[in-house]
Amino acid sequence: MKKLLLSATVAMAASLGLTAAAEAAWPEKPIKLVVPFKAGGTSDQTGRVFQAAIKENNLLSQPITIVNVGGHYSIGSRQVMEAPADGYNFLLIHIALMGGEGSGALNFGWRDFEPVAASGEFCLFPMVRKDSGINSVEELLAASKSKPDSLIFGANLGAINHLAGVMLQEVNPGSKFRFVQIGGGTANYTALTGAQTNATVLSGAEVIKFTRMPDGSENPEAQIKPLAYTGPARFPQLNHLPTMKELGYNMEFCIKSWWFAPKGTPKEAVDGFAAAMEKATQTDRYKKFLSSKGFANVFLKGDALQKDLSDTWTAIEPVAILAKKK
Amino acid sequence: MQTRQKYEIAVSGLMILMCFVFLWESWDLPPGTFEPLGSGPVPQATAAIIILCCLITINTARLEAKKSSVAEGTGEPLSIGFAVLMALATLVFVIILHLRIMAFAWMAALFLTVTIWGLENFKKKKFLPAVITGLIVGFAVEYLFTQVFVVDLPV
Amino acid sequence: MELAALGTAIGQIFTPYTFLMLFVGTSLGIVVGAIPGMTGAMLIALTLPITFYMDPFNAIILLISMYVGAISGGLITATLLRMPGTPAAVMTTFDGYPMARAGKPGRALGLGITASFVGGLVSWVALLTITKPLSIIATRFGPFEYFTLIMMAMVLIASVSEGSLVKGIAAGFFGMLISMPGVDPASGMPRLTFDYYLLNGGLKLLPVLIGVFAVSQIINDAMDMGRVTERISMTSKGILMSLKDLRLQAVNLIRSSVIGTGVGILPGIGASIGSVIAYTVAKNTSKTPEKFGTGSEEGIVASEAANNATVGGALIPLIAMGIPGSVIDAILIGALMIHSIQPGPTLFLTNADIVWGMVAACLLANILMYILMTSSVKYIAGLMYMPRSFVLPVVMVFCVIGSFALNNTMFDVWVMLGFGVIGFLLERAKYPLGPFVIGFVLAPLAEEKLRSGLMMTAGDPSPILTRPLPALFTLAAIALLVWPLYSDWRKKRRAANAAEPEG
Repeated sequence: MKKLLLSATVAMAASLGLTAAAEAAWPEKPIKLVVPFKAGGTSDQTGRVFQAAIKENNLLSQPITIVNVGGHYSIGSRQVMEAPADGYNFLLIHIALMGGEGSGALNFGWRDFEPVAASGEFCLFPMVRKDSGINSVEELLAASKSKPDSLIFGANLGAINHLAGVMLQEVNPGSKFRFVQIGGGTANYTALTGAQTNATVLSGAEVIKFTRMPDGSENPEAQIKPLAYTGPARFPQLNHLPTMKELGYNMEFCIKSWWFAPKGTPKEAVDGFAAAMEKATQTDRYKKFLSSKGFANVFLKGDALQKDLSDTWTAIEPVAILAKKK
Repeated sequence: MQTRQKYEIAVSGLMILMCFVFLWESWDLPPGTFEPLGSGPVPQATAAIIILCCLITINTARLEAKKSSVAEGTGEPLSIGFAVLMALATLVFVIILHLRIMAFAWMAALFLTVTIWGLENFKKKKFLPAVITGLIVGFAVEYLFTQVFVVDLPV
Repeated sequence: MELAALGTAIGQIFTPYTFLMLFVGTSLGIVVGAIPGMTGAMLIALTLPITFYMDPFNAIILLISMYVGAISGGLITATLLRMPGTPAAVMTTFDGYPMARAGKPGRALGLGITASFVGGLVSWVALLTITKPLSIIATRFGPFEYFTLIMMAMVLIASVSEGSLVKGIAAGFFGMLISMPGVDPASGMPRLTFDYYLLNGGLKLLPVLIGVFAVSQIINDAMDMGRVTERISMTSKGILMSLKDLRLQAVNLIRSSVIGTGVGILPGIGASIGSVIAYTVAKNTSKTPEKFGTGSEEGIVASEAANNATVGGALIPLIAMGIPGSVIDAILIGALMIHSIQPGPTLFLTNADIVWGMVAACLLANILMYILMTSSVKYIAGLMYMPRSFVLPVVMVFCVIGSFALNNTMFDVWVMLGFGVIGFLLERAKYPLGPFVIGFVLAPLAEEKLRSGLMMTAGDPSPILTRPLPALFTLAAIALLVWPLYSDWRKKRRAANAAEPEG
């Protein structure tokens, strides 16, 4: 009976042309992409590269409109979560969404969205001063274990570099950094150069900018140095540095751009958007952007994306809780 | 009592009130985990300093008011009516924008016509210039902010 | 190396689009500066939303040239209407207007324009030479250095702004308090949000600024609609200063420019204070102090040289330390941050092109200002009489759309309206708005620095008094706080003694 009623409803809807028309025609109006960060940041640039690549190659029949919602990233994220699930609302965010949920700063999280895709990946380098006498991750962790809570680790508390720092100390039980609020990459570079802090993490692009000359050789004036890479494979421009995995530590810490839609968004829209994005990742414009940022061209959708998200959550949730505790 | 001192007392009072609202909201913030202060004490100290300064200001204003109890005439006549018109029209404008029930260009044109004409004392011969300015600015601004700069305005 | 970078920046400005920005910025600045009731701060706050869509270099060129133009344009209204077009031109009204009334409006304007130009050039030299060394020193500033420096700046601006010290401090701390809802700068957790998720992002600078500077000004201007202004017939005779004049005023010009630059460098205080001090010094050292206030040439020169000199001076701490040298610089910091550029010691490293763009724009806008003002002051003066009934509503539309454009949320529009009312009330009660805005901008930095300092020392605040620079800043702040109270108390005592000589 129930089944009959259901099929009758479906038939009726189909005869009215409701679902069929909506599916066939997606997209029939401009697609709104919310970037919950201010214009000009890395996430915004990522969104705009995709927007341009999709437009230039006619990968979608409608344009994408980017709406920057500044302030805390929770504001724009929540706007998308509460937006109609009609296939015309998307969100571009990163691991902060999980960090915020894990630490309790947000009362919603990644599972309240429909995952669409993950793109472009970057990982981090633990950094110390050249005159610190520390030459490897092992020595850094040993120092933080022999005198716990004394090595000052510069971070933006609650954010990516803080989570990475906590994960780093957790690979060597007993290690303990003293986390200090410094800010993002540039602020941490200044603080480490000024010897106000003893360690931090920076992204590949930042390491290149702060420690290398334009021709790729080492900048003799730089007072800081990277120790290792938290990615799955070595970083091309800094090929001499081992990955954490090679050193025998079970740590991988990389950040991808995550693309979400409101829960219940039609599968056609989710798949259609992801397919257009996947094609965009093969364009020269996108590849050029990736290399300028030191990102790897990773692209995930469907089941691979689901698995990656839940793996990341399993890894990041305990770290986020620890990060809050000191 | 002069107008300035009335304002001083009223505004200082309002500021004190706001400080208490902030103090109330900051009361149960958790203590710091990475340093001894945490989120609460800095706003609380700030609020306390403001309350102190406002109390001093109120006291000074009252003393001054007592000294010169003769009300002085204000410098020049103020046209309160214009300010009220401006404020009310703006409020209506923003409410309509919030509800997104009208295209931006039309509501800006309407707002401009009413306020410009109003500030000209609703003189008959100023009506046409007001309407024209309203339409030109309204549509130009909508074009600028939706086509040149991509802003999510109701159109 | 340095000069080459500067040359590159100048070359970049002379590309058509960027030069257009410089031209539009300078001329709009002059015009808005000349229209009473509209200030440079208001213009720049309203321009910010448009700059989101430009590349940062062009955006900063536009804003800096507006800054230069607006400070200069104020002298036209000050001279011809005895109304300061911008607050910085108050001192110019004292001598410019009497001289214009006496039939020499062209000469009064000419003195002011040339003085502005020289002031701008002198401070530009300081900007070029001091900024980089200072930024290198500033990289060694730790959190306690920053915290105490900011607190000193707060006391400084409170003590020199109009009204009493107590009110200045109340307004400054009120601005600080207003900036605190949202994400705690030191722990990353939301606080004081009243469980309202839109407050997670806090109150943003732009809607607050537009509200405080533009909306409250519109309400004020609307209340003033009834006032009629007296026209002075305008001739441009004497608009160019002769060499003889320049020689006569040389000492005054240089001295006032240096004073302006120095005051500009001090964090938080800007053009108005600079011109007051330079005017006072000029009067005290003049051979004919009795002429001040009745149309003294020295008075016009001192005031205008100094207020333009503060522009370059105020950019120095902005670039080198990330601390605004004046209220408009606080807005510029906001503009840079919108473009994800963090002003401060590393700006030379991360965005050297922006730094040199700012330095170059400061010079070129100043030159362009001189050319525009001398050639077309007559027409600009005509704009002062633009009917306000048309200007005010149009500006209000820009206030609304500008706040909305920031983040595409209505929340910001409501914040803007709210702060329009708050700004209006604060002004009525003679609470100064300068400290309020500076406090709003600096509070997150101050709190972050204080608390990260405490994280470094495991909770020990003693470096505030034991390290040399923090101790110096703290002592200076205390002195600035205590001195006015002490002198006030002494004055009262003397008055009391005089009243009761036998007691």
